[in-house]
Amino acid sequence: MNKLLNLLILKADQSSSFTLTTPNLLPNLSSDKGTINNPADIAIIVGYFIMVISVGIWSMFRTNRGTVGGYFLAGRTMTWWPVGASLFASNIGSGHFVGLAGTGAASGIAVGGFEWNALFIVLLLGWLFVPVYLTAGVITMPQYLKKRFGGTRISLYLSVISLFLYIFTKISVDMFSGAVFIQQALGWNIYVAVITLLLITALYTVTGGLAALMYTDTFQTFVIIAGAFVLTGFSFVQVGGYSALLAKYSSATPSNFSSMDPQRYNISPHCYTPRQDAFNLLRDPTTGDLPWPGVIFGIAIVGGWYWCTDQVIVQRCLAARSLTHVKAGCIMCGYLKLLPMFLMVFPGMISRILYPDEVGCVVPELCKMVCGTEVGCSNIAYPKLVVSIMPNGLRGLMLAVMLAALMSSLASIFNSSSTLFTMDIWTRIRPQATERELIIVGRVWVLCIVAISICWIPVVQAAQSGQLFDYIQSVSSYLAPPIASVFLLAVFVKRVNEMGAFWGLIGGLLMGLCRMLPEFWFGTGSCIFPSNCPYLVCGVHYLHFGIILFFCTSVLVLVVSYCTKPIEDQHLHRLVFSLRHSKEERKDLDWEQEERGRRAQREAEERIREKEAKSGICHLVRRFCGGGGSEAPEQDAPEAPEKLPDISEDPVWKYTVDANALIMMTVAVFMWGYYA
Amino acid sequence: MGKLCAVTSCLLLTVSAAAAQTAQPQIERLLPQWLTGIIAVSAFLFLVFVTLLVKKAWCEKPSRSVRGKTNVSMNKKKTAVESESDRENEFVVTNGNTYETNLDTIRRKSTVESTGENEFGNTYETTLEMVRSKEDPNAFDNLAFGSADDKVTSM
Repeated sequence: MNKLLNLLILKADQSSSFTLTTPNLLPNLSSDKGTINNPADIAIIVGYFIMVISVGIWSMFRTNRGTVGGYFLAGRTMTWWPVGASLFASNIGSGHFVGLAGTGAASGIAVGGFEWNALFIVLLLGWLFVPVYLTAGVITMPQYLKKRFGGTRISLYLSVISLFLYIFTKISVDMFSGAVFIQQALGWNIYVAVITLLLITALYTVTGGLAALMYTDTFQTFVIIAGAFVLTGFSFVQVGGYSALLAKYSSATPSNFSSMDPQRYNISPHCYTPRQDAFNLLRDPTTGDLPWPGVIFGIAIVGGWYWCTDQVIVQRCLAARSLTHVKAGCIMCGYLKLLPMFLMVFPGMISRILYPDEVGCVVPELCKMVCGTEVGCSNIAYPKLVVSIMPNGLRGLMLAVMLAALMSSLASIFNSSSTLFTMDIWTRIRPQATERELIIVGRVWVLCIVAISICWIPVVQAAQSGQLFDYIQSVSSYLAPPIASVFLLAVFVKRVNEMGAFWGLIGGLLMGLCRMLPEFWFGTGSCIFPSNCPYLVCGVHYLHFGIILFFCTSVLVLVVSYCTKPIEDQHLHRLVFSLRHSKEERKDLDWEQEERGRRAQREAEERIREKEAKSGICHLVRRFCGGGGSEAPEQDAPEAPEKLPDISEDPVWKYTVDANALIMMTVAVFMWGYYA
Repeated sequence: MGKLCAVTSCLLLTVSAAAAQTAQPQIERLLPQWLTGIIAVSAFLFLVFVTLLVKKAWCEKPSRSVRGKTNVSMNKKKTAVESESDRENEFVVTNGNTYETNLDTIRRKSTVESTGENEFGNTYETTLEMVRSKEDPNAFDNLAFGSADDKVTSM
């Protein structure tokens, strides 16, 4: 605990240390550079919040939020542009700004491969996976697995591990990055800032449901891209252009690189010199920090989990009006994913060129003074640019951008985790829950997870390593490949059954934990103090380990499936890719459970209607929260199972969308080839 | 594309490894960047072209036998009208360029059907194929004559 307090105190007087170590700031900035306190900045931030809240309120009146379908799936009425924008905004969080820029500053452009790989994976989502999810008629991914395999243990395992991964990778990283930025830019107390942000996010998430989220995400996407473009423009002007970036990056070494305590450690040159392959996407398979087989295949596997099987992303596609809108939204998201390389990675590298002694600091004592950790200060690359380069007014815009990224990602994660919890875990505990109860539980869960996230901040602060993005990606590489493999096989291979999938998931989890736990125990170490993790455990790069884990899990799933009884076709109509157009009756494997649940739900609703006392306040609260009376949900409930979403497409639009996808893939391949 | 880039990057890296350690700005590239981009794009488009050809060849050949089988089995379950509209939908949804073969196959099957069953709701009953005579390709049978029973009175 002492260490934590020390960290917090150091962070608090960072703003003063900043003025000491950064003498080369522009002279026309306000005197206290750590705070945003001039009218232009404040006006922009206030205006941003007003816009977001008003978009949230407007969208409240557009959809019926009283039903499960209306609240969690926006009534399936979204067109392609909110779908595409929401996919992008849910994905890009403050973790991307801080993490991509920081890792770009430290090791070059290869980290942009994470973003550019997603261009292809998002097309897989729209063309291969969403048609199956749509015809299956499911709301959550564990529900899909339950229908596909039967039984309850797989869906329970997936719900629990998804919630776990959300808290450990997405929420904590986004909040930590947001906190870093707020500290640098505003100098506020971390807890005050984060709690305020979370409460505002929770407000429009809880009341508006998915519809509010998707419309606000569209607005946030504009803000993110506009602000990031402005900053990129300023930073390129400051450094002297793209060719200057290419030329100056390799000489961006700090002025202090000799060890202060030679008995304890020595600093070798490769720890502070920029990498020679900094401008290559594809690097050496054995000596590179991001080897090219890992970048191409490993990131594809982790991306397959993130884009094609994860509730946050798939839920947005399920809310679309038709399959063509899904595909168009995926293409739009793909084009937008071309931008982070130019908007975040390059500015990160520019930050290292402009401030090599802070961003590129290597001596542990100096680094601790600059940013509070001994490992390295590459995480402050983006906030440093915002504080130093941007003039008045535009700093407020950049803060709005960071808030937009943070709030949109967090809101999406809150909404999806509440969907998962409500539809998969709560309905198992109380099968007789009515629609109204489910919606209330969904909202309460959002508040619970906000509280958990606040409690998680000190843990992430204490465990901070120099490279944030690497941390998320490595945890994902150890836990996500089994899930991606099971989903891929579930959708494409009819022979896979429940035993195979379950044991594949458990085996994959054990393998992943065998690598993850020792690595966390020994610590990741740094360049100066390498970790003493044995080569057998930590020798394989985490991306290569992800590939191995994926194949091992697939083999395990297939072996166990072929040794046990197959699932008959009558249970699989519209649940696998080859049968997605079949119009035959499907005998659901979980129909008994569903029937029991529906009967219990109907009885509970009748009982409620009998003893309901309609007081005035009760009615008012219900109107605000969107429950449109008890009649509407009942009409929806018996309809929902029978009305299957249509995945037929108008041929003209189908060809347009396919052609567009081809064009996008061509552009992506050109960019990969250009920077390879 | 991956192999080409791997070869290129391996070549570039070995070149850089052989060079001096001090202050080399970047890895010397053998090809200019835009050229590697163009090469990657052409390789990709070639792969797409090959995939389209394979898909066309694959989907055309077994489709005739597959469609025949499914139609016969579906005939047994449903009435003639429904099965035709279902088959139409199946063609439209599964294969984008079925418009040329659509009417042909339905026409052909409707002739098979109409000779076997009643023509209620069968919209393609009147084709010249049905009444074309076997002796002469330009001559057509008169159905009325062909179906009439010969009544011979015994003398």
